[in-house]
Amino acid sequence: MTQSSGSTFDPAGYFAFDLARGSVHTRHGDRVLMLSSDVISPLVATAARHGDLTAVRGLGKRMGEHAARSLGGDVGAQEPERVLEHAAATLALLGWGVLGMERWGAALVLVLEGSPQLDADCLGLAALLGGLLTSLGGRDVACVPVGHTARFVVVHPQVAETVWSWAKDGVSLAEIVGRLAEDEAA
Amino acid sequence: MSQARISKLEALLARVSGRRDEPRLHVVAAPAEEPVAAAAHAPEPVELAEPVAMAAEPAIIVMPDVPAGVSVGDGAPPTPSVIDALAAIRPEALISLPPAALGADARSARGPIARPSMPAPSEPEAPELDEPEEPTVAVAVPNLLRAVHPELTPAGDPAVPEEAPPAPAAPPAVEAPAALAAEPEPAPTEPTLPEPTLPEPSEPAAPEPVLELVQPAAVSTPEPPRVSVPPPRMSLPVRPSLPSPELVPEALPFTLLTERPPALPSEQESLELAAIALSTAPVIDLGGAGPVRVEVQPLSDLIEMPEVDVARVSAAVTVVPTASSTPPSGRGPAPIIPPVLAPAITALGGSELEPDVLAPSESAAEELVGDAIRAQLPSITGSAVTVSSPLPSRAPQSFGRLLSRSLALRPRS
Repeated sequence: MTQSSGSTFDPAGYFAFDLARGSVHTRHGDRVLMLSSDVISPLVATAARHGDLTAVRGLGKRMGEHAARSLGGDVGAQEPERVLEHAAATLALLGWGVLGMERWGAALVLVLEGSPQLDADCLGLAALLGGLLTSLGGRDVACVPVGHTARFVVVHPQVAETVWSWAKDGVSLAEIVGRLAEDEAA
Repeated sequence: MSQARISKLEALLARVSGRRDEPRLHVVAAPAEEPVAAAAHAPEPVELAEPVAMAAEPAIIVMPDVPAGVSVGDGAPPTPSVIDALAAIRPEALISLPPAALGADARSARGPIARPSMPAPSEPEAPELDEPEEPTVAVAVPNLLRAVHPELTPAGDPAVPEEAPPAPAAPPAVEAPAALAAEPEPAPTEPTLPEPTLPEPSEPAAPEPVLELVQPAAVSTPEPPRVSVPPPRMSLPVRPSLPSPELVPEALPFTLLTERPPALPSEQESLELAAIALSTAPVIDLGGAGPVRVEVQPLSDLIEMPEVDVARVSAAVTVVPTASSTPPSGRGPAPIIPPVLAPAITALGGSELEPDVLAPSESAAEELVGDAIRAQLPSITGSAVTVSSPLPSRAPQSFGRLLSRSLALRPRS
């Protein structure tokens, strides 16, 4: 049984600008910085080259926590559309683009359009979305970018490397989904 | 078209119909008398008069045996000479049979489906076949000719010799519905699959598809019809598994000529063609899951979907392995169809295969489309196969369930 009740995402008062102290906080209490994407991009690109996107993934987790708090209740039991609404609103408020969600058979695919260009392979955004879904789903989640379609396949971290190798070889999203099968034991 | 060719075509039609106890099918040219008579004195080929209700149809009609006392057109059944005359003027308006359809195993039609572009009769080279993994299908297929057989090819096709080899002996009569439940042979396209098992020469012929011609009133002839004309509606059951396409490279499963340049089909046409493509390529490889068979029928139910979106329907169709398939141990049916359908849908002029998009707020239009698909899906479920929908049922699905399914995905072994 899914939960469909609840209010829609309310962006009002999400940021609190304290000019006297020179700080900006979200309504959840997190202090945030207003930075140009031109500043963030090289930092993320460097992190991606070094294979350590922990900070970006952590940022995604915080966003997921915000969305989950906005949703209220058990996120997993709620309708996907409602979860998407709150997650997309949270990302949009922070300037990360427009989040979409697609189903390709059993595969869940995230679409992030209008996002800032961080690194060539979109690994930064993948880490961000992976953190986001990890918080929302309560399970460790990996998002693998596929081509330059702004799409990210949601998979278990154990198979992320395999899927990523397919994507780097130019395998289309449809074929990637076709190469995957549900493991009932998983 | 010689009498021999006509006879062969009729013989094939009788074979594919699988109903020996019913009247034979005749191939006639209609409307024939007037344009043929006019063209006989004209220096240039003339346009054939088009049937009133079939503006884009070729000048050929497949009809049941003409009963005694009933005539066509000007009062007399078209004669072979009329058809010959028509063939001399507009050979592309007639259809002929590829050698494989007459001489070789007519079942061996699995392979690429013809591209929308039709080969000109004067082209010196035979139309090049695509890779088997990229099934495509001809567009702008005349409705009437859809009821003939996918193996029919234009008379002007250079790949088809004017005189086809002699037709083999008719296959043994079979009970088509029961025989369709036979186990499919492995598809030879994927290295993960077992080696293709070619039928032995002495092996009994597999059942032929059953061609059902219904609703005679659906098509009208230019003259006040006195003979009922088979309509375009048809039911294409699953065809048996097929040997390697390399064995029958000339056997294009779906090549038809029209009198007009092919145009991009409408969504409904694309959908119908997609259904035909599925029906004509029933053995689909799902990688490690083994071959599956697909049956989509009746087509009329598909094409009557209101405001249907081809992409959504393609995403809605899921093919699962038949019982005879060998899914990987410990795994359930493989429910993924997009890799299989995507090339066909694209070739049909439809949009790229799109997933089932989850929008923050599902619009009423989307709900209507979803309801239409769901309402129609039972009608495209065959007995020998399973065609189901991965679209969410009306019972809401939770985010946690969606996420769990995705996280349970593993590379196929």
